[in-house]
Amino acid sequence: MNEKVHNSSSEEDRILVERAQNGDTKAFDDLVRKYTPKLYGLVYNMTSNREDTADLLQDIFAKAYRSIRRFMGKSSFYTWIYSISVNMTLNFLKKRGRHVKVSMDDVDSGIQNDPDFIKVTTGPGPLRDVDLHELQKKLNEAMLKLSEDHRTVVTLYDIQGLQHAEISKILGVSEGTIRSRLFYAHRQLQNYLDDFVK
Amino acid sequence: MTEFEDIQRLVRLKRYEMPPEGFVDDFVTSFHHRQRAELLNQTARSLFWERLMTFFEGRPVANMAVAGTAVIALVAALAIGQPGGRIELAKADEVSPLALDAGLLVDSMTPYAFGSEVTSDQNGNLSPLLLSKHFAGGYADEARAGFAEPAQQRQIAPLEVMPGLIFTEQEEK
Repeated sequence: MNEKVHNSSSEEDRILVERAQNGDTKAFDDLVRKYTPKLYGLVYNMTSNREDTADLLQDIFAKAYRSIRRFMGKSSFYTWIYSISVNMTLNFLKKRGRHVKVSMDDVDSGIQNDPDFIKVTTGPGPLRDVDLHELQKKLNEAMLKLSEDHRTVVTLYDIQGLQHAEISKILGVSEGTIRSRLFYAHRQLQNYLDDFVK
Repeated sequence: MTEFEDIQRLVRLKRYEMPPEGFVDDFVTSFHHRQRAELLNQTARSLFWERLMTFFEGRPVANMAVAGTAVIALVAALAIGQPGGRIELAKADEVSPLALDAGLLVDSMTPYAFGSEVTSDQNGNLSPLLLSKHFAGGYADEARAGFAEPAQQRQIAPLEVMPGLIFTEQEEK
C-alpha cells in the first residue's frame, strides 16, 4: 500500500476510534462500513462459506464494539480488528471441524481484466479453456485442504496482499514463521492444483 | 520469480470473489438490530459477567493477581475448615462417658467435646489421664492425688496429648 495513503487511512481511523470511544456510535458505524469488505474477504477465504462469514462478521464487530474503550492505539486499528477477526475465525473453524459446506460467492466480472487471470487463461497451459466456476471450485477445495494456520497466511498474504511484517503483528508470530508457513502452504497447493499448473 | 509464482497467481484470483451488492449496507442495519436485541434480552447478570470477562481479557497481570488471591482464599478456607485446625466445641451431652472415666474434667458451664480440654495433675503429669492406663488396669484403684484442681488452674493441652492419639507412659520414657 502506498505509504501516504496508508498514513492517511491510519489517521482517519484514529479519529473515528477516538469518537467511538467517546460514545459516538456513528463513528463506529463508519469503521464497520470501512472494514466490512476487507474482513469479509478474510473470513470468507478462511471458511469458504457465505453464511458462516456473515455470522462471524457480526460476532467480530460486536466484540470490537464491546472492547473499543480498551483499545489503546499501540497498534493501528486495522491490525487490531484483523487480529480479532483471525482469532475468532480460527476458534470457529476449530469448533466446526472438517464438515464443511462450501457456499461460494459470485466472482466479480472485473476478473476478466486481471493480468493474472489473462496470463493463466490465455497461455498454452491447461487453464486456457477452463470454466471460471470450475476454477473457483478447485481453488476453494485446495484451500480447504490446508490446515487453518496455513490457510490463514495464504489468505492474508496472497489474497489480501498484506506484507510479512503486518501478518506477523496480526498473528503474533515471527516473520520467519510466516515465511515458513507460506512456503509449506504454497507447496501443498501446488500438489493439490498440479493439473492446473502444469 | 519464485517457484510458486503460478500458484500464487491463481490464489490471488480469489480476491474477486465478493459478496452481493448492497451487502455492506444490509450488514450495518442487521448489526444495529443485533445490538438492540442483545441489550433487551441480556440479563443484568450475564451483562455483568460479559463485561467482567472483557475487562480481564488481555490483562495478564490483573488475571494473575485475581487468580493468586483466589488460591490464597481457598487454601485459607480449607485450612480453617480442617478438623485439626482448631478446637471444636460440642454440647455437654455429646461428651463421651470415657472422657469422664479418663479423668477429663468437663466444665458444665462451658461444655466441651471429648479431648478438647485436658487437665493435668498438680505436677503437670498427664499420664494418669491416658486411656492406656485403663486397659492396663491402672486407674480403678489408683489414687489420683492432687488431681482435683480448681477450675482456674485448667490448661488447655496441646492437641498432641489428646488421649489415645499419641503416647503411653512407656513411650514417654
